[in-house]
Amino acid sequence: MHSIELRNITKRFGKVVAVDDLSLVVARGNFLTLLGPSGCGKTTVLRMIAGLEEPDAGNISIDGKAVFSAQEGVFVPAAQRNLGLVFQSYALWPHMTVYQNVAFGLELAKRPKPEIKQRVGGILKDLQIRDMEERYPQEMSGGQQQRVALARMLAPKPGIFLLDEPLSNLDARLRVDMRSELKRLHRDTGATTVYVTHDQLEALTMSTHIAVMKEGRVRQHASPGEVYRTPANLFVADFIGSPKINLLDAIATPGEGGTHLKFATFDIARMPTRASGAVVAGIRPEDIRIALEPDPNGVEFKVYSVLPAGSEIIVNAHLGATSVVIRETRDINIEMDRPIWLAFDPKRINLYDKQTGNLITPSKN
Amino acid sequence: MTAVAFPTWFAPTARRAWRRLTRPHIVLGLILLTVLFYLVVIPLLIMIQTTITWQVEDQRLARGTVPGEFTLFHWDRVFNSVISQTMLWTPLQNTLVTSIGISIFALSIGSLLAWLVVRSDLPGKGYISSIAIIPYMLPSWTISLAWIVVFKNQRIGGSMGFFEALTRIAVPDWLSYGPVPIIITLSLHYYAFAFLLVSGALQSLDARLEESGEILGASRWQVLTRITFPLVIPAVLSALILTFSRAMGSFGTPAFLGNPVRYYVLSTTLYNNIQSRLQADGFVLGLVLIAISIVTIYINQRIIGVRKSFVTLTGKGFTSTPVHLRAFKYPIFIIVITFLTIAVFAPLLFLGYQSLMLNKNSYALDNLSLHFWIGESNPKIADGIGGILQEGQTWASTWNSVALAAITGVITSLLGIFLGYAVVKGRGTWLSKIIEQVAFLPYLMPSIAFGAIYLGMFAQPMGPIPALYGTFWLLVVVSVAKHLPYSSRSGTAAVMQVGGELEEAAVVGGASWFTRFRRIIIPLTTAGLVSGFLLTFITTMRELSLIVLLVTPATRTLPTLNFRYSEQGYHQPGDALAIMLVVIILFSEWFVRHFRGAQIGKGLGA
Repeated sequence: MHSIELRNITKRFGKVVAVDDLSLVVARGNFLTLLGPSGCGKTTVLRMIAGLEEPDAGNISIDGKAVFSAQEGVFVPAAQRNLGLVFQSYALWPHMTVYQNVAFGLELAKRPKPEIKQRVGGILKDLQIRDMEERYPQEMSGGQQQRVALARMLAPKPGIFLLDEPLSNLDARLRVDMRSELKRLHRDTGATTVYVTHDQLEALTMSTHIAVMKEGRVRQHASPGEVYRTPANLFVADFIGSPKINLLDAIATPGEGGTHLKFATFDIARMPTRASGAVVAGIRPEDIRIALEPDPNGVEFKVYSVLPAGSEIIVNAHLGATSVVIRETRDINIEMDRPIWLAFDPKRINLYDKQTGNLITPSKN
Repeated sequence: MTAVAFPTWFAPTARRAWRRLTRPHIVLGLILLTVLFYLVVIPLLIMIQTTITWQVEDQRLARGTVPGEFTLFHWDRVFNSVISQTMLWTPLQNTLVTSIGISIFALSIGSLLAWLVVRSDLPGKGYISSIAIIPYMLPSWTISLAWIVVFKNQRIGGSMGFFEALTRIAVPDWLSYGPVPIIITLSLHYYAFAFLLVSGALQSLDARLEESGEILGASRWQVLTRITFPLVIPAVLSALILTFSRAMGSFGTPAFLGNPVRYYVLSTTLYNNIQSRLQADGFVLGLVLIAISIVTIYINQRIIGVRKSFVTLTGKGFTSTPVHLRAFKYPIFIIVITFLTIAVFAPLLFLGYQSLMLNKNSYALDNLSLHFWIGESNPKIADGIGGILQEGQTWASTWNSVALAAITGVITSLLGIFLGYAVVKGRGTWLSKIIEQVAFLPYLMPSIAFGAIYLGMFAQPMGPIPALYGTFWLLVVVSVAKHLPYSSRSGTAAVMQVGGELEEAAVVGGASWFTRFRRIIIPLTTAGLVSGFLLTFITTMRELSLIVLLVTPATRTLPTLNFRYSEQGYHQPGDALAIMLVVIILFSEWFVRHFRGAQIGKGLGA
């Protein structure tokens, strides 16, 4: 088990700053997901940890030992960092069989033949691809190739797992299955893991920690629950959650019993968060309650669209120019164009500064 | 490390810089750049230098000259003197006339055939396309030799050709020799090149683009003219330019068909100059050829507006409903078959027949003999030239040819992968760009001019390279250099296909650069390597223009031996050699294709 520490890492590609003065610590045994839209620099960070890319500035250490330092001129090559990497494309060598692919690293490490045979056999068995030893990668399905890529990473027993969007080439069903397998693998090996994805569901379901990135910087580094419940800024709030969070402009005025929020078409009173001036309210779709009958605590909206998805119903309702999305988990029948009454829970609303986009004070819930 | 009295920032910065410089693709790139510099840039500079200094030979032309001193004498002599007309302007005009004619004919035939094979419901398309590319594999001058067999006339050729012997109609001079037969015979060779390029472009055309047009209500004709044609026009235009540039540099055909009637083009004039020891004047003509070539390629890029438009698209195998030729189907089929018979089989048949004629003036069946194949030398026949299978120099030249083609093929394809690696891994760096550009330079230089460059180069030892003049290795070096544009292009495509992650996976696994190259890059680029080898092998095997200035009796190859025979009027052994060469080429092509699945079209690059 190993810890990873990045300090003030900057990486430029020509004039483009891919990673901008980034610092990040991954404690031993953690499962950190780098989450962000494409081009946010997450893969570059992973590649710099792996040693495939050299930063322009900063330090990287693994287990307290510097593997890169711009000041000292230190650069430890990838092979000596004791880590394993799974590529998005899997990068399985098409001219080698499954066995040869998995054994490659052990062969280079000059392990004795019987040991290699035993180790590779064991891993392939664990990953349930033992009977495919002699196949070539292109003769296998995407899910099987994925397992080979994992096996190849596991074979030399690395202390750190680096995974670059390993599930993005699988179909939706397999992706869900593999999530729990990867989580199990992390649990069983206890290896420090850095996982790159743009899929928030993968990040939320698998990680112990999430670092949400944008334009080469970490915008929030916290546990999945915290990232979801109290996004640190509007970017994270908007990026995490499906259906997306409702972000509504409001004017806040401190008053008796809490802050009063004045939206364009309705008001919410007695917010526990103290704020004043122009704010943006972040309201998760599941934190809005629908009433089908007139409700004194509710605001009357008109149903714009209803999207039933089996276990839940996504409702989009309008009031003038205001549009909100609600997630309803009760099995109720809502027709389009009918009026509904929406009740907002003031305790579960996050307020963001309209200017800076940062969270004002976490609401207590 | 011991303490060094440098400023504290120095050591880390130096270490960092050193690490960057010693990255494998940088080291490889620098080595390759040096090689390219020796192979391409220095020879070109020497060539230019020769044209602007007094040569030892000039002492017989002008008084008081000091060899080595600067002069514009050669340029003045070529461009602006009493002999300019015969030396430059007439050959230039002839070159332009024949090259333009060849390009237009070859391209029209090649594109039409490509469209028929790729997009129509012509029967037997598979056979047609494999036969259609045969002329590309054969030496361009075989057809001209066959032309002479058929159409020579008594007045100039000294004896009747097949045609006159059969019909008793005297063949007019313009049909026997000069621009008309040059254009016809070279078009019959170069159409195959256009066919390869255009059919590649047509194959990689996404059929959905055409189908979208059809759905919007376009007729077949509108689809062809408004969608298909504009999409393949870059490929067609670059095929046109390439054909033009190659036609300009071709030597064998204009020599066989032009020299007897004193119809000279730049390449034959250049050869004559160098044979008369007017090397500097010949080099001026070579530079003129290079200049024309550069200008046409520049114009091509300006017209198309896309740089590197000479890169052909390779087939991705989109299938679409073929265009129905309906009532024209069989008439077109018959025309195509007739054409292929004339272009591919007839020349070989005529050469074969003539090689069997004991007396070169009699076409009678009782004159047929195997003398020029297996006969003992007899002083009464052809000044004692025996059957080619008996002659020692046949076997020596065959050996030279095969060795030259095989060695060049191996070096070229390996060099191609190295070049591709340095270019792809260094993408975006100046080093990568320079390598790409310099490797492309030989493309601009017509073969005969490129050969001429090497005449001056390596005559004396240069740096680490010993004097190569007159040696076999000079032929290897010039052939490798001439193939650089193709090898770097196909190598780049091959390495690009491997992709970065496959190699990085090995980096993480702990493989050294050498291990990565041996176990990952080379195995994964084998298909490209073999196709590149095949293309180089065949083009080197049949090469005449490039090496005709550089061979010596000891290093003679099959094409150059053939050229000697034909030049001296020994037609039958020349024909026999041509057939032997054709057989060797076709057999090697079949062998490599059969056992390695390589295709010559793929070696063309991209």
